[in-house]
Parts: sequence; C-alpha cells; structure tokens
Amino acid sequence: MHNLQALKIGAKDAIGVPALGLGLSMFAFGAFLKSVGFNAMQSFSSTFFAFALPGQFVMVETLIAGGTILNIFLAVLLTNARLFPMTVNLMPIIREPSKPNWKYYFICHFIAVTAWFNMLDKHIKIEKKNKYSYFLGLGGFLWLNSVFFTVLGYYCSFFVTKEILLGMVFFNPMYFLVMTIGALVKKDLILSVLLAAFLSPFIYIYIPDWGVLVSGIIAGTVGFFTFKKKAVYDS
Amino acid sequence: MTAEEVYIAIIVASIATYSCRALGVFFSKNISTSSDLFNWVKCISIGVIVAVISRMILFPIGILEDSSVYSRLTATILLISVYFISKKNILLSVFLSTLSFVFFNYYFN
Repeated sequence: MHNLQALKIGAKDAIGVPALGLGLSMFAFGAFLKSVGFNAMQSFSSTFFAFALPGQFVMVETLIAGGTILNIFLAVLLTNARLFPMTVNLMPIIREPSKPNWKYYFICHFIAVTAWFNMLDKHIKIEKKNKYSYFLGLGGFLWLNSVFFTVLGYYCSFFVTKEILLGMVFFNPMYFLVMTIGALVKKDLILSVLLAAFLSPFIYIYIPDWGVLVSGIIAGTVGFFTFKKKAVYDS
Repeated sequence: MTAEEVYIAIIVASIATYSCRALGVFFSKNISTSSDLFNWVKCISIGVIVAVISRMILFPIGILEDSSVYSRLTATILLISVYFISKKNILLSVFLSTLSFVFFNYYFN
C-alpha cells in the first residue's frame, strides 16, 4: 500500500458516522456563533485554527462574559487538556523513525476525540509505515469536514429549529459514548471508564474547573494500577 | 465585543488548544506502544473522555444547557440498551437515542 492509498483509506473511513457526528455538532456551533454576533470569517477561523469543540464553546462563552485574554487562555487550556494524554497515546502508534519531527507537530492539529477513537479502532489493520498517512487522511478529513459544517451552520441556521439544533449537539456525546463502550476490551480500561463515570459528577461539583481532568487522572490511574498489580502477582 | 476582540480570542484559544497537542508530541518521543506508560496514559485518556461525556450529560455548557437532564439521561440509557440489544450497531443506537432526546425535550421540557 502506498502512502497516498493509505491517506485515501483514512479519509474514506472518516466518511459516515464519524463525519456526520462531528459535522452535526459543528453545524450547531456555527449556528450558535451567528446567534452571538460572530461573522462568517470568524466562524471559519474558529474551527480552522482552534479545532476542538468543547474549547471553542468555552472560548465564545468566556468572551461573551467579558473574560480577559488570560481568562480565555486558561479556560480553553483546561477544557482541552484531555488532548495532551490523547496525543501522548496516539503519537507512538503513528511515529516512524524516518519521518522528520515537524510532521508530527503538524499532524497533531487533527487529534480530537472522534479521530482518536477511530484511529485506535482501525490502526491494527494498517501497516506501521502507512499509519501516519492513514491518520492524515482520517483526521485531516474530519477537520476539513468540521470547518465546512461550521460555515454551513453559520449560513443555514435559520432553516433549523432550536429543538433540532439541540439534537445535533447531543448526537456527538452519544457517539463518543458508544465508541468508548466499543473500545472496552481490557479490564483496566473498563475500570477506568466506570470510575470516571461515577466519580466525575461528584468531583465536578467541588472543583468545576479541574473536575474533568482530575476525575480522568484518578480513574485512569486506579484502573491501570489495579490490574497492573494483579498482573505482577499472577506472573 | 469588537471584531478585534473576537480575533484575539480565536488566536488565544488556538494557542491554548495547540499547546495541549504539541506538548503531547514532545512528551511522547520516547514512549513505546508496549510500555506501561503508554497503557497508563491510554487509561487516563479514556477516563478524561468519559468525564467530559458525563459533564455534557449532567452539567452541560452552551446550547445543551437549555435541555432537560431527564431527556439527556433517558437518551443515554436508551443508547446503551439499543447498542447491546442490536449487537453493537453504532448508527442505530446513536440515532435512536438522539431522536428520543429531541422527543422528550420537546414534549416534556
């Protein structure tokens, strides 16, 4: 398989539910941007440069609330902090020693939950030398699709009722949830997911800003070390 | 809010978002896919994603704030049920749960 072929397969795998789920949410985001007074270029730039939907919502809401530049930076940083462990986890899968380092700093812009889940789901079937190109096709397509749907949502928001917009936004977390359940093949991941689901609402009440991150770190750490310890004893 | 303020906000948000990814690239340089660290980070990643989903269902921000928590919880229960009953049909489970969310939200909110 050539690199171009791998890129095409990656883009093809993005078409369907992954592109639709992300696209619907981005459409609703575009409509939201229009309702708060952004222009088309600003809506386009938001997804083109700051691609990661929860952070984009936080950016707009902090701006509307009159937040300072530092407020916006910290709020977006905390909201998108999940991208750090996701990138640390994905890079070793796609890294090839022959490729220059800057290529990884370029491709990381496409890492988001949808692309991450789909890459983890499909990468075993892709040869190591083609994984970079495959992810470029998958993540790059999802990014372009998101930019397109943001602008579409901006221009076409008047066609859609508020109830339908709500449904569009809700489609994506539901898709994330089934992808999460589908990825649960190992005990450490199952425990991490269950702990995060039960702990996060309580932690979030006490530390709203850090709740998501702290819950994920506690759940993932307990989940991993519970079964790592058992594996050491078993061996 | 002026046009300049919006563009500055987008630039600042872009830097914050890209920093999370770029730091991930930097710190992953010497991690092997067979190492404990790799698997630990995977557990943390999936834990954080589930915490994000929980927050979107229980304490959403943005557009979803206008929906009822009951419609979101009902849709989530339906999603998981349909997913397993339909032998892991992603499209069917996501569509039905979203439809139920829209329905419950429209008639009971």
